[in-house]
Parts: sequence; C-alpha cells; structure tokens
Amino acid sequence: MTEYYESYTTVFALLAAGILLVAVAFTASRLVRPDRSYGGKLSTYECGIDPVGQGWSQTHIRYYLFAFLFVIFDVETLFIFPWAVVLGEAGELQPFMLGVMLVFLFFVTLTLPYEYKKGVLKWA
Amino acid sequence: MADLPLLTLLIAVPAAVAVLVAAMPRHAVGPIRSVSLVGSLVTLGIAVAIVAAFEVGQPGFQLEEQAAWIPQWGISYRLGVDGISLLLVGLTAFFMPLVVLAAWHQQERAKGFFVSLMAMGAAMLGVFLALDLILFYVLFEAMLVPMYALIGIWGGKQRRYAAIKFFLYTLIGGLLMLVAILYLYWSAGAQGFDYDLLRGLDLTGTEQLWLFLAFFAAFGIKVPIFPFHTWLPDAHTEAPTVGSVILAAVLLKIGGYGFLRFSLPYFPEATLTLAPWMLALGVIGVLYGALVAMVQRDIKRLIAYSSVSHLGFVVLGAFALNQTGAAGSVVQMVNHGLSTGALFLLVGFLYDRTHDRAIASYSGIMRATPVFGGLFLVTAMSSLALPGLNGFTGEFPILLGTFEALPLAGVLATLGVILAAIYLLWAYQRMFHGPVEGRAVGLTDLTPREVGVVAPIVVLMLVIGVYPGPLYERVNPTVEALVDEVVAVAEDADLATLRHLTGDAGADAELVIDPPADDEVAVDDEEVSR
Amino acid sequence: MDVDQATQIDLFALAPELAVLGASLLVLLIELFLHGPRKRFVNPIAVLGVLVAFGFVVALWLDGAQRSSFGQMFVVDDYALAFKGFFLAVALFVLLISYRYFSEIRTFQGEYYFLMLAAFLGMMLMPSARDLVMLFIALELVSVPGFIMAGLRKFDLRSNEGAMKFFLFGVLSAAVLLFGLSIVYGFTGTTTLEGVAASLSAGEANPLLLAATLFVIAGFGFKVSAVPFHFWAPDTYEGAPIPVTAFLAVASKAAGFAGLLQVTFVAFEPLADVWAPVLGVVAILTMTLGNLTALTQTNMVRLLAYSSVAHAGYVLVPFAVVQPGDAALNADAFSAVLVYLFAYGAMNIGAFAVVIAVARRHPGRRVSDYAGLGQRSPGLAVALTTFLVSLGGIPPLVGFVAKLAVFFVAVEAGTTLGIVLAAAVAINTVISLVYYLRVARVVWMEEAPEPEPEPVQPGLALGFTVGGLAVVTVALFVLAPLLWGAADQAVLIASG
Repeated sequence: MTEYYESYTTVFALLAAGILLVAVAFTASRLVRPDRSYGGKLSTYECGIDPVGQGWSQTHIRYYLFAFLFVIFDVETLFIFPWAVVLGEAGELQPFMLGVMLVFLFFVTLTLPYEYKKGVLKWA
Repeated sequence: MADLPLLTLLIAVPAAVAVLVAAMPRHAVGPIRSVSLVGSLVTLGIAVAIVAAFEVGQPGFQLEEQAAWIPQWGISYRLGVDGISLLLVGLTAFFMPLVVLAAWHQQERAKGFFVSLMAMGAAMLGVFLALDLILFYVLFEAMLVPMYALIGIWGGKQRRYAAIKFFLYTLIGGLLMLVAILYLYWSAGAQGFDYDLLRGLDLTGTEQLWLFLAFFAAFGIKVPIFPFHTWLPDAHTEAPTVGSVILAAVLLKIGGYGFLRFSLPYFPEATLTLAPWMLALGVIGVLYGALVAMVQRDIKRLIAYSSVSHLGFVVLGAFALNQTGAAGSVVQMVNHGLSTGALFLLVGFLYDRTHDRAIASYSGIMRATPVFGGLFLVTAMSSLALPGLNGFTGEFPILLGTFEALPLAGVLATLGVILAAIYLLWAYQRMFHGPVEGRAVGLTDLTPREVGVVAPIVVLMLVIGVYPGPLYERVNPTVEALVDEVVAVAEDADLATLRHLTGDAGADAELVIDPPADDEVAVDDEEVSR
Repeated sequence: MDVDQATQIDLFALAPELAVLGASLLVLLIELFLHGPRKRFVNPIAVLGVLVAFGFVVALWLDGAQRSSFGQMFVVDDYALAFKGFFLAVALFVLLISYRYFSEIRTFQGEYYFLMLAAFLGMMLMPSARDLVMLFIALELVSVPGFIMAGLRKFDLRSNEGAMKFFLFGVLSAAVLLFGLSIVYGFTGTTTLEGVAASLSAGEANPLLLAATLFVIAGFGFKVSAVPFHFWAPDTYEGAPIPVTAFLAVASKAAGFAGLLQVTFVAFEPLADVWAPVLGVVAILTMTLGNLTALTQTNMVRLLAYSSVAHAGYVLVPFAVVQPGDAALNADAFSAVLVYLFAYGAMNIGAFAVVIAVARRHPGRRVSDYAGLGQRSPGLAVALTTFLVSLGGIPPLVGFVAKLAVFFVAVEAGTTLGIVLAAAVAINTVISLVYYLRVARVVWMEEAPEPEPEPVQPGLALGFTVGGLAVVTVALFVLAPLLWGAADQAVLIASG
C-alpha cells in the first residue's frame, strides 16, 4: 500500500515545482518591471478601440451549436485513436472490435442528417 | 338448498346489485331503487335461509366455506357463522330492505346513494362472516369509503368534517389492528391467517397486553368506548337518516363483535388483566353517554349519545367474563340495533318534513300525528329497556352478569338504565306532549311507506321482548364455549384475579386438582382478602 | 473478466432493447419528414416499438432460459424480465397519455418520443445489469433524457427552473454515485455485483468502504427522491409536462429502485447491518415529510409529487429490514418491494392520466378545479377516486395489497426497527388519507363554480388509459396472488 502512495510523490513533486515556477516568475517580473499605472491600462482591450457596452454580451446560438458539433466530432477522433492503435494486435477479436466501432460510427453519423434537416448546418 | 354456498351468496348478492346499479343510467331513479329493493329482499331471503339452516345448540362455526386466496401468505377466503355472528348477520340483512325503503324518495344523486348502500351491505355482512383475519380486515376497511360517501355527500351541514373524522378514527384503529394481526401471524409460525390457526397461541403476558391494546384500538373506536367516542355524535348527527340507521344498527356492532370474536379468545390473559379496566370504561360509557344525552338540544345528537350509553352495556357484558353477561351483550347488540335504528328512522321522517332537529322546536306532536307519536313512544320504551320490550331482554342479563363480576360496576350501570329513562322520557315529554306548537303545527302523519318501514322493527321489538328464547338458544352454546375457554386459561394463569372477578367457586375446586406451591396459595388468599 | 465471454452477444436476449432502440431512432428520423399536425403520427410508431419489445419480453419469458450477453454484464432472468415487462407496460401508458398532450403543445414531438424511448431503454438495461459499470450507464441513460424532457415546456419559467434543479441535483448525485462505485471497485477489485458480494463477505468492514456504500445509496436516493435528496422533485414535477411528470414519478423512480435492489440485495448484502438502519431512518423521514408537505398543497401536481415522495418512503421500508445472510427474510423483503412498485405504477399513472385529462380544461391544475367533477364527468371522477383511495391503501384496491406486503416484512423482521417502521407506515397512511380524501371531497362534495365548466373529454387514448388502469387497480386486488407470485418468482438475492 505504501508503495502505491509513494508513486504519488512524483505527482506532488511536480505540482510543487509547477506552483513554485509560476510564483517565482511573477514575483521576479514584479520586482524588475517599472510600475506606472493609469485608468486606461485597466480597461478592456478591444483592438485599440474604446470599449462599448457592458461586460455581458450575447453570442448567437449558432456559435454554440458549432462548438458542440466540433466537440462531438473531435471527441470521436480521440475515441477512435486508441482503438486504431490496438486493433492491429487484437488477433481474432478484430471482427468484434470492428463491429463495435461501426455501431458507434453509425450513431454518430446518424446525427448529421438530423442536424441537416433541422437546419443547424445552415449559417444564415 | 344445503349445497348452495349461502354465505358467499349473502355477500355476493348485494355486491352484485351494487355493480349492477353502478352500470345503470344516472337518471333512471325508479329502476335503480327497484333493483336495490329486490336485491336487498333477496339478501334478506338468503339470511333467512341461513338462519333456518343453522343448527341450534352447536357452539362452533357452521355452513363454512373455504378457498385459497393468496396461498403464498396463507391468506384464504373462509366464511362461517356461529351463534354470535348469526344474530348480527340476521340484524344486518333485516335492515337492508328497510333502509332502501326509507331512502325511497332519494332524488339527489340517487345512483351513487344506492350503490353506496349496497356496497355497505355487502361489506358489513362480510365482516360478520369472515373467518380469515386478512379477509376480515379487508372488509372492515372496505366499509369506510361507501360510509364516507354516505355521510360526506348526502349528510348535513357539517358533513365533510364528520365524514373525515369518522374515516380517520376508524382507519387508525384498523391499521394498528393490522399490525397486530401480522404479529400474530409470525408468532404462529407464518402458516396463515385462519381464525382458528391464530387462536390459543403461546404468547407472553406483555405480548398479549400490547396485542390486546392494538385490537382494542380498532374495536374500542368502533364501539365506541368512552375516550374514543367523539366521532360518533358528529357522524350520527351529520349522516343522512339512512346513514345513521346503518351506523347505529350495524356498524357499531362490529366493535362488540370484534371483542367477543377476537379479543377474548385470542388474548385471554390480557383480557383478564384488563377486564376491570374495561368494565370501568364500560360504566363510564354508560353514565357519560346518558348524562351528555340528557343535555342535548338536538334530538339526533341525543340519540347518538344514547348509543354511546347503550353500547357501554355491550362492553360490560363482554368483559364480565361470564356466560350471562356475554350472551346478554350479543342480544343487546341486536336490541340496540333495532331500537336505535328505529329511533333514527323516525327522527329522519320528522326531519324530512321540517328540516329541524332541535327539541325545542316541537311541542305536542302526539296530538298532531298520533301514529308517529305512538311508534316513537314504543321505540323509546324499547330503548330505555322497559320490561316486555326487547331492550330489557339484553340489558337485564348484562346487569346480572356485571353484578356477578364486579358488584360496584353493576350498581353504577343500573344507574345508567334509570338515566336512560330520564333523558328519553324527558325529551319525549318536551316534543310530543303539550299544546301543538312550533314546527309541530301542520305536521302530516306518517305515510304508509314510512309506517311500513318502521312497523317490522316494532313487531320484532315486541316479539323479542316477550319471547327472547330463540335468540339465547342460538347464542348460548357459542358464548358458553367462549367463556369457558377464557376462564380455563385464566385458571391456569392467575387464580386470584379470576376469583376476584367472578367470585366463582369453580376456581376453588381447581385448586384441589392442581395445587400450586403453598406460598403461592398464601399470596393468592391474601389478594382475595383484599 | 474473460475477454472471450465478454464478446459473446446473444441477440435474442437483447431483442427487447434493440426494438426500443430501433423505434427511438425511427421516431427521431421520421419526424423530420412530417409537417404540422402530422408530426403526431410518431406516437403510434413509438407505441408499436414498445409493443414489439413487449412481444420479445414475452417470448423470452416463454423461452425460460437464463441468458446473458457481454459476459455477466447483461443478464436476462425472471427478475429482469419482470421489470422489463413492467417498464414496457408503463412506457405504453406514458405514451398513450402523451399523445393528446404533445399533439396539442406541438413542440419537439420527435425529440420527446426519442428521449422517452431512450430513457426506457436505460430502464430496461437496469434490471439486466449485474455489473457496477453497466448499472451506472443504465442509470445515466434514464437520467439524462429526463433532464431535457423536464424542460420541454421551455416557454414556461417553472419548467426551466425545474429542469435546471433536476439537472444540478442529477449530476451531483451521479458524481457521488460514481465516486462510491470507484471506491468499492478499489477495495474489491471487481465490478460484478456477485464478485463484490463475495469479496465483501470475505473481508472485514472498512470505514471507507462503508462510506462508499452510503455514497452509492445516496446516488440512488436521488433517483427515487428519498429525503433528503428529494428537493428537486416537487419543482421538477410541477414544471415538467404532465406526461413527463408521470414518467418521473413512476418509471424513473422504479428504475432507481431496480438499481437499488440489485446493489443492496446482491452486492452490499453482507453490509446490510450498516445500510439497512440508515435506509430505515431515511424511509421514515421520506414518508413523513412527503405526507406532511402534501397536506398543504393546493396544486394537484405538487400534491401528487409529494405523495410520490411519501410512497418512495413506503418502498424503502422493506430495504430497512434486510439482514445479512437471512435469505428467507431478504427474499420476502425483495418481493415486497416488487409488489409495491408494480401496484404503485398502476395507480399513480392512472392518477396522472386523470390530471392530464382535467388539465386540458383547467391548465392551472389547482385542486379547486376539480370541484364538481363528480357531476360533470362521473367516469373520470370515479377513476380518480379509485386511484387516490388505492394510493391511500384502502381495500379492496391494489394499493392495499402493496401496503400489506410492506407491513408483512416489517413485522416479519421482528426487530424493534421493523415494528417502528410498521407503526410509521400506519400513521403515515392515516396522514396521507387526509389529503387524498380532500381531493375526493372536492370532486364529489363541492359544487362546480358558476358558470359550470364543460365536461372534460379525455379522448380515446387517455380514456383507455384511465379506464384500463382503474380496472387494473381493482383487478389486481382480487388477483393479488398473481402479482405476489410474479414478485416471488422474480426475487434476486445474494446466494450466500
């Protein structure tokens, strides 16, 4: 059991090192940089234009939809990658694995015509 | 004839009529009440057949029927009739056609009314016949909904309050009983819920005490015994005439029936321990009911409290633990059903005409409507136990039995009889004598239908009053066996209490047969001398 | 787990699930090509799918053999089939009561039926799952569509609020559940239920392990809306479309209980000493709080919501009397839970069906809207009274059989806790009847407001549901042996 916990020492050491690194970097820059502050520096940077309106802003729903679609298909590749790596060594399990992946892809693909019919893929 | 499953038919006929009426169109009031009347007359016919088939002199159950219902748990469908239930079944069946006739002119939502009546009938008859405890419980609770509807839909001003009070009181008692029933079931080795199977279990004193109290919750509320009686005046007063009649004539009897059927034989030791308390509660009920009845201004409420008083006698008889008292208690249940049922019917007829129940609103009814006055007088006399009418034949043995058990209780209970005479006669005098005044002016006398409803009851009062023998013939063997059983257990358990209670010489004889250790005898003697 | 075994697929064993899955996809796609009012025709497709799945369940039952797929991840036995049959029956009725409601709202019909079928797919997986991972997947498959369905009335703020609460509570409890499951896996080294049981009875109790079992139970406690995890229920029930409320109150809850049954009676059976008293306390709290809060409700849906919380308390009672190693008692407790759930399903969906019918005329769903219903629509009124009285446990209705089953095991245990629980159920039954009868009183004993509203017309599908379930509620009382027998057949307890 102790051994099990010891393997975590690395993690904690890494964590400590990370915190230390950030802390040292910020403290050092604080010490060496000049400090001349005025109001304009605190305002939101919008490509050099004066900021307009509130901090809240609405984003059109289609951005979210696209983000979702992207995540879904991105995660899909993440899922397929390890599968592809072990497929070659699967031996007689290969047909089973192929079948399972095809079922998965079938469900993911099924969403495309649904999205198309619902008009999600149209931008305007 | 003998092959017919009479007991099942007795329950099935009113149940089937209820379903049939429910299927009839709402506005066909005429056919609805005709079907109900025919159904209840058929039920009465079956009851008569059962009485005829009943073998007098047998203590045990007769005409038994049995079938498995939920075999996994040993729940069966078992019916049977013995001396105690025979009388109550007869009483119930006797009242059914009368009740239908009394409600003949029910126009408002007549269909639901007659469905409820018939459903009540089936459930009530079933309760007296059921010999499986779960079946008994099911029927015991199944009565609640139709009775709730009867009071709540067709009742008086405070009907909703009265209906829910009635429902919840009965329900909570019933549920405690259910838990006790299940406890008995597991104590008996989980074989089933048959009445005989759960009888004579080897329970410790504490267990018996708790179980007795749980059953007492159900039956004590139903009777009702003194501190649990408050639902009764409300329910009685607010219920429609027919509802009050059913309540008085049959429903309250389930409590007394339950004591004799379950509490006594199931928990003999607890019965013995608690008998003095029960007698005390009975006496309190008798006196309290009578005293409160005396000051009522509402005639229906007066009769309701008189019920509390009369049912106190039933409790006294049951817990006097001798044959005289117990048999008297069964007969008293029948008599109370007849006399109080008739009183409620008569008050209902009066209320139909004037819509006024206040005693002070009437004067000189006797002169205005002699037939009504005469019938009321006979019924009141029966209710106050005038010798020669039926009330006497039940109360007298009860008083004898109570004297035998606990003289003081007997004396006090006798006082209750006197009080009954006072409150009934006083009310009678105020309402029926004197000059014709108030609502009595222009009062019309009873119609032939109304006379026809009350007349059979009055005839029965006279017959029982003069010749109660047939009732006792049927009750005595059963009650004798019951009391013997309790007393036998009692002798084993606690000689001192028994002798103290019954003053029975038999207990001394038992001493010789089974002599306890010397020091125990000494203690016993000491307790007796106290 | 043996890899070869895990790749074995018994398609026949999976057939009911596949039928539901196919129907759900079909519904989703077909709706795209239907326009306007014709969109409502997806309902019959869903119904057809459910009927086909039911046919497969019957075929599997006639077949009788115990089947499994993916190793022991997916098992089809009497227990699983009993629950699947129950769930499909519930699905059928939920679809029937949805038809009119959703064709009148006219929103998201395809999505609704798809989500509903997906949730029922999760439910059907639940009783077959004999593995902690599978159990979790099934539970989530029930929960996630529920989150969305609860918010389908998106024009209504209460619906949004209810869905949000449901979602937040749901993900939190899922996290807690998963955390508990991972600890259990860490200690026992296996995820199969039987493996966990074997490992637990061999090893000694560790505080962390006990905590983990409680985490798992808390996770399911959310699903069955047991106090103190019930806060989402009334708001969600009130805001959701009423058919969804019926679904949440009956199906989703029953699925939670199915999972809880498997986890407690099989996997954690050796630790019953620890969790049974906890569940006993939870049961008492749940029924009492549910009933007391229901007393003051004026909204019919909220009243039924709190009543369903209270009923969860009654169902928890048999759990609380479980004793490690006492197979006879545990089997009785198990079948009591099943009896209660089956009975509860029939009467509660019936009650919601009546509410849907009345809500067409009175969208406010107040209890006072029911005044004079006995005069206007006697059929519906009789049915509603039947359901409510049955929920109250009065004979001769199936609710009494259910209560009896619970009383039975509570007293059978013979422990103080058992007697206390029996007494608590008795007292709560009385409290609950106060509000059930209050509704009955409004229905029968109060006059309809002037001008008198028109009679409620439930329509064919709703009418069939209400009538059918009323008959079931009465018939299952007389046929109690059948119900009880089926439950006894389906008992699944740790063999040890």
